[in-house]
Amino acid sequence: MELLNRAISGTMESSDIMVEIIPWDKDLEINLKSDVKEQYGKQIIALVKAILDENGVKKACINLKDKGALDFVISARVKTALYRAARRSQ
Amino acid sequence: MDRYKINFKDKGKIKRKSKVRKNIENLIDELEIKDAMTISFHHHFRNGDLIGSMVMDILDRKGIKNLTIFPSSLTSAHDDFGKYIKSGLIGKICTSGLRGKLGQDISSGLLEEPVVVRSHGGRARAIVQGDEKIDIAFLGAPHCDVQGNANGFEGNSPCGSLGYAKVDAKYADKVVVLTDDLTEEIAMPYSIPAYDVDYIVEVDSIGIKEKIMSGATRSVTNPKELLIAKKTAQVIEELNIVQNNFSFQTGSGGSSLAVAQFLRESMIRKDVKADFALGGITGHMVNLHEEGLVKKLLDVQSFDLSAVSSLKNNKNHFEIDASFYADISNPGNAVNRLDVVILSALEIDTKFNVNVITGSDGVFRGASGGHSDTAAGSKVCIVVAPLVRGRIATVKEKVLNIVTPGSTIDVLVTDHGVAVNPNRKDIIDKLKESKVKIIDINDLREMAEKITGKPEKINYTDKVVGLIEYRDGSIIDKVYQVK
Amino acid sequence: MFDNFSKKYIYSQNTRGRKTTSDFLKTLGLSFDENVNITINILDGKRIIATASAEKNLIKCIGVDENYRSKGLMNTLISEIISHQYDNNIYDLSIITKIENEKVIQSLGFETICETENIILMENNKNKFKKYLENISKNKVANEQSSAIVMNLNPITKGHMYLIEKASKESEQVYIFIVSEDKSKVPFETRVKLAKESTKFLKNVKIIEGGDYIISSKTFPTYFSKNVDEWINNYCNLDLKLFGKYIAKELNIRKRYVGKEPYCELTSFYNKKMKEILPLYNIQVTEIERLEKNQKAISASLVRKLAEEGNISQIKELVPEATYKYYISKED
Repeated sequence: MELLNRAISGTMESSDIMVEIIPWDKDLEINLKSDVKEQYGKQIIALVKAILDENGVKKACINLKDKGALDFVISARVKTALYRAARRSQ
Repeated sequence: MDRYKINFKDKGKIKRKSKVRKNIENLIDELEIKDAMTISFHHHFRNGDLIGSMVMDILDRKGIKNLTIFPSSLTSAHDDFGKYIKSGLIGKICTSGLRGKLGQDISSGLLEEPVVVRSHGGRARAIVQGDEKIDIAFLGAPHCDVQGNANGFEGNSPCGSLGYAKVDAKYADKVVVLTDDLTEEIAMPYSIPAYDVDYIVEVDSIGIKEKIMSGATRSVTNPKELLIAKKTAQVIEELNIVQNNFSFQTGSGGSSLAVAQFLRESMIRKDVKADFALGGITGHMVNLHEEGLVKKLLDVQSFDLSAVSSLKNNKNHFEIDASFYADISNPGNAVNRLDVVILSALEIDTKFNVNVITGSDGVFRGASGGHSDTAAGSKVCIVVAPLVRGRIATVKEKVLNIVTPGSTIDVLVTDHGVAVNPNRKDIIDKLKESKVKIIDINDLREMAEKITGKPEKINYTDKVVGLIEYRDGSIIDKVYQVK
Repeated sequence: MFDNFSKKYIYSQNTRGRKTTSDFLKTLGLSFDENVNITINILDGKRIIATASAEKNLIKCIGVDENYRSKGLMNTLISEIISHQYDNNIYDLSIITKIENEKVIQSLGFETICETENIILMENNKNKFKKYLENISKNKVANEQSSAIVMNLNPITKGHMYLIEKASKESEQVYIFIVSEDKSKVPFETRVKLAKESTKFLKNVKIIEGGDYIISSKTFPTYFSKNVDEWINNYCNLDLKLFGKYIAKELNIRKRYVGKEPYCELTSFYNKKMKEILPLYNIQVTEIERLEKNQKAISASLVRKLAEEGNISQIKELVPEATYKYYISKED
């Protein structure tokens, strides 16, 4: 997937996650801010990485602001942000 | 005690000595507070308390060190107490609750000496039995007369019951009442009698009114909480608890509050009147009482202005002290008469042990409160909680810290099912005949983990930062410093 | 989540919506800034219970009814504004808010850039201010103590030149910060060009773009609406702390020159605050009497007024050559 522009998806409401994708020419960087970083930080980053790998994303900065979202929510938000980033901007 | 010594040599008219002191600073000098003493205060003013900080600030400036502070609990009003630990003023803390910034400070090892966490009944026991001796009790009172009779339901910022403070007043070596409503008129009825009081200081304000008392405890609208509450009321009915003159206690959080709403419907339907409701009293309880559904209210802590007003005006709304409420060594303690108690939990494990003191990250964020007391004393103890909170599972393999042992917890009601402690065959049998489906607690645990995923283990160091003392004085668990 | 609240988007042309928002903010002791171009309100039935607005990258006018606190409404509002601005390709956002809101806004991914007694400036891209300071320091000419003047130069007049020349004579190096905000009649590039030309002969004077953190709507929202209200004290504190604590250090500025302000209440209040605050950062404030012509201080507003009236000839004696030439060329 080729990323053309910055994109954001999700909210910072409880149980949600805000995902920001910034395409750049440096290597993949994932920044996680989470209410449950101690307990689930590793799992969240692994999940996000897996989705990015699936979609062939290698050069981007992903900023995650998590408020205790479950895996299926994280997955949905990341995918939405990816599609928005891949879409040509108006 | 000194205050009872009378000099009979002088048979003339009594020379009236005033207990009133100009300000706290002068009083501290007069009291000759030394390092390593134990001082206490109460938490009836909740998040609006100014007394605790006021006193600590002055003690700090006087250079006192290594005190044991022994409040009935700590709230967000004490969030910045970390600075008193850093300055050496505080050497030890005994409390029921620990949260917010102070909770984080303690969990990260700021205090050398471990915090002793006791339940409300446990604290009373320790004081009455002499395990803890209070040198000076600094008790805020919304209303106080010049001799020292004080109560909590009058004044500018009333707080209702002074149940926790009453024990301090009775047993502390020296008692100081701080009030912002000092009167010449006799303050009757009193919560704290003048004969227990040594000094009185009038301060500008005992607390921030809006944070002391809420206008009214909110009604529960959260559908999850309502679902759990409905299920719980069903369980209570199936267990035939709702009979004339039954007694109950509900917690003040979400689902447990809502149970009272459903219990009411049950009581009306069955034409049942409860003998008494116990514990922290809210406006909802007051409504039940004024409707005639609950004959008496036994109030150790008032939660809103409706409760305060009721305590003042309703003759069957009684203020009780912490020892009467839940002290295991008190032969007449109220929790032993409870038919049912509905409690909440931060975590509960497959052995039904409950944690209400630390969060899933191992950090102090709760309070022991009356949890273990009511669980042990009541005939039936029901814990209500959602299966998961956001991404945090409530039902676990093992709780991080035990406050209430599983042997006293009988039923768990979640939004995903009801589990019964295997040691209560009587309850299992009764519910088998009913419409309430029982599910194994291990299944609940699995369900929870499926939803949230398996969490990483919390990393602790070797340092003990908290000792959880059970209501009988034994240490039931240790809390370790989080890395 | 379970409450039945509704969201409403209010754009600049919706005057009625903006009025009700302004009324709501008044009940919280806050004022509505007319410069915002998007406002998001949360309503309970017909009543506004929470609001937040944005003017490009600055989120402001945030307020939640005290009966509806602790419901995560702030999270909802800020999330919405972030999404909305994102859709308009505005990514780096700043918030000026009361200090009590710091923790809540922090949990939404913002960090505090500058803190004053009552208000704080927070941004969601902590590198933005860092980069700004780096750019400022690139303008450093030499290491000696220098002087600074912050001016709008809208356009540059003989009055400005008087102040600049005085500073130039008394200092090793002078940096002129031109207010970047384009709320002035004369467009920014022109103001810079005229300033550079007019000061060319002064070897120790350098013109610098003020950027986002010097008297901008970010740091001083009411500067441009000339509103003297309770918040002006807060904004002055913020703007001056940013200058004194961070910006001045990059160029070793130890003196700030300012012209006495006889006409504008807001500017004269600001000057007064400058004399209180900058010395705390080892910056001396020197206030110079305005240059007069016919007993009237030469001001840029006078020049603009004459230009509007078409009295270009009268402008000649009030401005340096470059400015005069600009107005002549505009006439043609």
